[in-house]
Amino acid sequence: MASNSENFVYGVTVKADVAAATVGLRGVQNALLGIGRASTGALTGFGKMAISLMSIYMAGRMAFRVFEDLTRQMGLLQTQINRLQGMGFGAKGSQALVGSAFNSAAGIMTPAQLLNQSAAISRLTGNTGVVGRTQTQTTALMNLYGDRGMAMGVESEILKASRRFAIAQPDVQHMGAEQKAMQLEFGNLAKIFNNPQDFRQFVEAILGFNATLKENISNKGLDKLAGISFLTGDSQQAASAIEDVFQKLQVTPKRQFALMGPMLQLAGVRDIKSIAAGQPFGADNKTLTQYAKDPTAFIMDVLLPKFAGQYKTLKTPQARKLFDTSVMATLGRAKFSPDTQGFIRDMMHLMAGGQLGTEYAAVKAGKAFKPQETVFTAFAKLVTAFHKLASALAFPGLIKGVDALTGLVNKLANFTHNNKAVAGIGGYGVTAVTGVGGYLAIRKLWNMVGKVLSGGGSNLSKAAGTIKDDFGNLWGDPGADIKGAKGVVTDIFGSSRGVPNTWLTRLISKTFKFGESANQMVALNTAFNLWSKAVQNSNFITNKKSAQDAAFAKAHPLLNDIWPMTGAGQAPINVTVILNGTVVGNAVSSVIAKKIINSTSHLPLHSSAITPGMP
Amino acid sequence: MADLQAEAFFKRGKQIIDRLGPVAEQMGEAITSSFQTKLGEYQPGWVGLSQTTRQDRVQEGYPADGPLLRSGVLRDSFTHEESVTTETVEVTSGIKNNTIREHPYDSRPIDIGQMMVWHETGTSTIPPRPLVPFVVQDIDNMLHKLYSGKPPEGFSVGSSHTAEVASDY
Repeated sequence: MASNSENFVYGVTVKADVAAATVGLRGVQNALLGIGRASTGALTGFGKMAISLMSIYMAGRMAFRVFEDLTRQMGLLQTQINRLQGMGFGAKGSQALVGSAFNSAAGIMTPAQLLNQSAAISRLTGNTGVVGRTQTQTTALMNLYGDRGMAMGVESEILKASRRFAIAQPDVQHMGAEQKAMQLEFGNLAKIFNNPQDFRQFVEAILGFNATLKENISNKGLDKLAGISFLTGDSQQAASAIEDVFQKLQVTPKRQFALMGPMLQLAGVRDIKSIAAGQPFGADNKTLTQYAKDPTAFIMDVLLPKFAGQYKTLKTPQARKLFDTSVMATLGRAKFSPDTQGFIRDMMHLMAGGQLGTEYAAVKAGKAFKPQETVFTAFAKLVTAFHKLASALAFPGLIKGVDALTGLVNKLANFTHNNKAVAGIGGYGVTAVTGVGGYLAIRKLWNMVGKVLSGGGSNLSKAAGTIKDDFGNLWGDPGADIKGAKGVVTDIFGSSRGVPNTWLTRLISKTFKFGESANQMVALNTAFNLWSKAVQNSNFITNKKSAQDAAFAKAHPLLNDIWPMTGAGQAPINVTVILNGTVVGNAVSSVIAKKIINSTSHLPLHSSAITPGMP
Repeated sequence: MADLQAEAFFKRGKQIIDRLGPVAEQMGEAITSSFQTKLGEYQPGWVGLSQTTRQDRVQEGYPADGPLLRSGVLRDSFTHEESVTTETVEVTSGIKNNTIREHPYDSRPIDIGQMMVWHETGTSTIPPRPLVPFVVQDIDNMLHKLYSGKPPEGFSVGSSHTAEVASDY
């Protein structure tokens, strides 16, 4: 549907996404969290609801079956129930078992729910203990899919999803609504996609996009390992999982010993001796939990600083080269891809005081201050690092986001340089483009670069005193500080609130020596003019909008203070500004999104169409 | 079964449309009003009218100070449109394409939308007097009030609606 803003040459549009706000709210949210890294590129041009639904099925790797024949799939569930009943299970027990598998496949269970479900299954089967629950879960999945490989894959997805849910901490009380929402979404899916070929084409596109992701998460066992460790908090269980991974990876016994340490470390287990002694994690539980949820954080926060610290102590090129080789070999043994190895090596060099740090030190000391050149040089390095990280971790959305950022920042840098202005990009809005992977990468990269550049400190938005929130940071307050007007602060992605300090903002603000020279500044009463030109030139916002919306929810688990983009993969409300008949900017309000969602929550979410007994 | 579920889904969609339609219209009116009431009133950061302009206004029988407001041509050109579907609620307020009126100063035909753009961003001869930032702020306030159980003036919604939201926020 064409936007009615097209009829206007000047004005403001407020748009609320009703579908996102009202349909399948929790279920879709969880499914999105479960899949976590859906392609942003592939989302363009499709209904958001459909996308959300796709994500559900992708999470369970049920895509083809479900999309080709929804009815048959639903029948399959019933068949499984019947089969279990034939095996001697009662009606409720059969439904619970299949329902558990179904919900798990769809990725709508929290760790607690998973364990509760598993406990219920254990009661049904007489099998107790964590191992029993896990095995039963796998068995249930095998019964459902009739294929061990698929069941294992689904189980892996469950564990990954569960870890994400642990971050999001969805309200267990909503489970009933989630399940009902799932039912409704099935019906909606049938209406939207009644052509199996269309389904197949679309799903293939997405799966193709994600195939690289799945392959390039180089240590496939990591997810499983971390997931099991997190769920069980049991070191022995983690060790068993590692052995399982070794078998799957066909690692020779000789190498297993060398690999055990890094694997456990990656799972967040620091005290390897306690493993050997068969002791539980005890005091290390917190660390384990933290890193099990976020293996990337472990690499960035623990592994890299450790390597960099050691690297820094080496004085000779020969020793450093040898250390490089050693690190690469260690990472290789831990099944990191060559790209990841290279990335970590490069980051290690940076953190140990490499080129970027030296360059910034010169800038900071007032030597060789060439704003444009410096910002480009520094940014080029960051972009290179981003590309490596994106490639290594296989986040296609991040690559796209970096490309877009590169073009935009170049334009902004040129623009601000030519106009003696200062510009920055505020907010973690970059997440909107890159998804949660991008957010992680940026956050971690900033943590690293930040140490090199400045160790934290001032930032453009704070200095300018202009960033307020979703809407305020577009404009600042033109009348607030006219004498001290420092520059233009923009939030081109218009997304998050209350988190204005980005690595890019800091980088640019520092590189431009913000605030030191009046003739480099521009009055805030012309800020809007500059901003609108820059954005119009960038041709960015409108093109990226749908991807932004769809990707936004994936940032949610990591932006806990921003309630949620609630659900269906987007911030349901955005405000668009129109000038000269062109959409020049928009801002998304997460708080408003929440409120809109809630405002419709009193409407009945279920109907008589819900099939009794279904999960 | 799928058909029944789909039916339930679309039934719910209709409920939503029925509910949100009037709200969208009220919002359109509120945003339009936000634009209109700012005309003639200095907004933060606006540069004062020149002495020449002030004299000209007085000669024409208008108050000396009242940026962007004389006869009300600009003000009365603001309008709004709403669309509500099962997917989106969209409210746009501003100046529509090809809104041609007599120039407030010399009666020449002029595109009002273009004129507002000039005022918004400034030209070589006109200092910028932006409205959009302040209207956007108003919208933000409206939505916050709307969903905090305190509907803004002229913007009413069902009480149960807002109370439920407020309790959850």
